[in-house]
Amino acid sequence: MAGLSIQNVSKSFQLDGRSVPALDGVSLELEEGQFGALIGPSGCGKSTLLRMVADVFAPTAGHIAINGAPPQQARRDHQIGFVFQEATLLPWRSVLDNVRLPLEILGPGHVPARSPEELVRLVGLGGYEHASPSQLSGGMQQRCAIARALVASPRILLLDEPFGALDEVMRYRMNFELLRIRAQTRTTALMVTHSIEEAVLMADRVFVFAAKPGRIVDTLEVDLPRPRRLGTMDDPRFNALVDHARHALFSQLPHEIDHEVAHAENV
Amino acid sequence: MPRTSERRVLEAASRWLAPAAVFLALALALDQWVARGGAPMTIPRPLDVLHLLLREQATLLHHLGFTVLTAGYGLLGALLLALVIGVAAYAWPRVEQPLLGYGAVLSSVPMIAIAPILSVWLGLTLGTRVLITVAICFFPLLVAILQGLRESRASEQELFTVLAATPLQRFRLLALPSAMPFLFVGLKIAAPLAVLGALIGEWNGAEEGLGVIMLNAMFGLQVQRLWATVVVACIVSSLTYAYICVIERVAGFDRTAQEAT
Ligand SMILES: Nc1ncnc2c1ncn2[C@@H]1O[C@H](COP(=O)(O)OP(=O)(O)OP(=O)(O)O)[C@@H](O)[C@H]1O
Ligand SMILES: [Mg+2]
Repeated sequence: MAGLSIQNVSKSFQLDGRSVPALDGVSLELEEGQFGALIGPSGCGKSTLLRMVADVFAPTAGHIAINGAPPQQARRDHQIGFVFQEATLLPWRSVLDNVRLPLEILGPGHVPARSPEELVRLVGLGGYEHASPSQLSGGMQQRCAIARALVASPRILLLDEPFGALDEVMRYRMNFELLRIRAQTRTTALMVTHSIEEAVLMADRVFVFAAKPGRIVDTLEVDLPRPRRLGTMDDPRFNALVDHARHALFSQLPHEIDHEVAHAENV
Repeated sequence: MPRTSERRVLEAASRWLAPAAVFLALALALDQWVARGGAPMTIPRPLDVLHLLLREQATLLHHLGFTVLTAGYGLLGALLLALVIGVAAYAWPRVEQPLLGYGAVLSSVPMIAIAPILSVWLGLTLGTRVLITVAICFFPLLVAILQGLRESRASEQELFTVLAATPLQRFRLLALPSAMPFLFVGLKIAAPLAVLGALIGEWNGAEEGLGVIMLNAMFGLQVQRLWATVVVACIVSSLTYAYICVIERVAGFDRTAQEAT
């Protein structure tokens, strides 16, 4: 089956000799070219799930398939693009050389669909090609990391809060830029975000997580028309979906909190 | 707000002029003290030492050449050895701990005591003196390289995992560049040590070299000459340090310079 398939995946970590479950029985499907978004509270295992899809480590139980193959194979075939939660640029390389890194690892046989120079301009870093990462702001570093993840034309793109460090305007610009690039390449994408609006704006499917242990509590099908635009957010269906996702997310909060807040504000 | 060129001058002044002025003042004070006869015999007048330095410039430089050569070969040899062993330890992590253990013990052996034995065994050759220098410089370089090769962050390692880099690519593109700042720290420690190693080698028997003049001056009770050689040794040691700093900056591994721009 093409696309991404995650079946009943669990992961436990060893902590002080105890085995602590981080993810418990997570299942999700994305067809090839679909865009998935993960939202959920901090520490619920979103980054952990992305790492297992990228074969950084294996699940404790369950199966993951990328276009029908195990993650290990997808990784070895250089099919995975990953944007880490921290930009993780190599400080001794310039912006352009950081973006080039995956091509260097692929070797000279690979001809990129988009040149590193073009990608650097595309993420709005034109003029900063020869700057060192320490000369960039956090958001600029993250955009550089996005360019790096795209340069080798991956078949699956994993994004861990890629736009967390961006201001609102730049964030929307990058949202639409990413959607545009992806529409051309038909790359399957899975993105972690803390913004419900961003999840609904970009994704075909939104997976809402709960913590302790991490699990999916709700899956939203976003049937808003593409291409998505700023106007999409005025669509009543958009707002309905955002409300739905928010309720799914907040249903995890114990109800006492509402009372406590109300109480605190009344005093 | 002064313009940048003016500020440069001011910065250079505070960096070089102030210490130089302090040094000069101390030297002159010392000179006066010795001139008035208040000082012991073993302390010469700085001005006399300066005169001697200028008068015997040619001889000193001639001998210095040999010392610098020994130090250079020794530092280079130690660097190559530390790189080979460091990379081997990177490839086989299990040997790292035993290696550091042996290295620490060996490096705690006082070279000044071992040097005569080495000289007796191996003869009074350039090779022996270089070997002594290598022995002195090796351990700080090894520690720096081992530490440096392990220095990359976990997230950087993850990046290379996701990119399916081969072990060789991981070494060349991640471990080695991460190690460079550490390597330079090691070199800054080892370079002045190399001068020391060369001097120790020469004390144990050589025809030419700064250490030879030093020894002769000492036994001949030529106080000014002895001090002149000490001054030269100090200057050369500091210059080796400065030399490494320059290479570091030119090669672009000076992180502090990068962040300042
Ligand atoms: N290498 C590890 N060793 C031990 N525990 C880990 C490790 N990585 C993650 N965990 C644990 O797994 C849980 C999930 O972590 P993860 O980083 O996936 O959360 P997250 O959903 O990405 O959170 P955030 O939104 O804050 O980034 C946490 O409780 C964390 O302590
Ligand atoms: Mg995370």
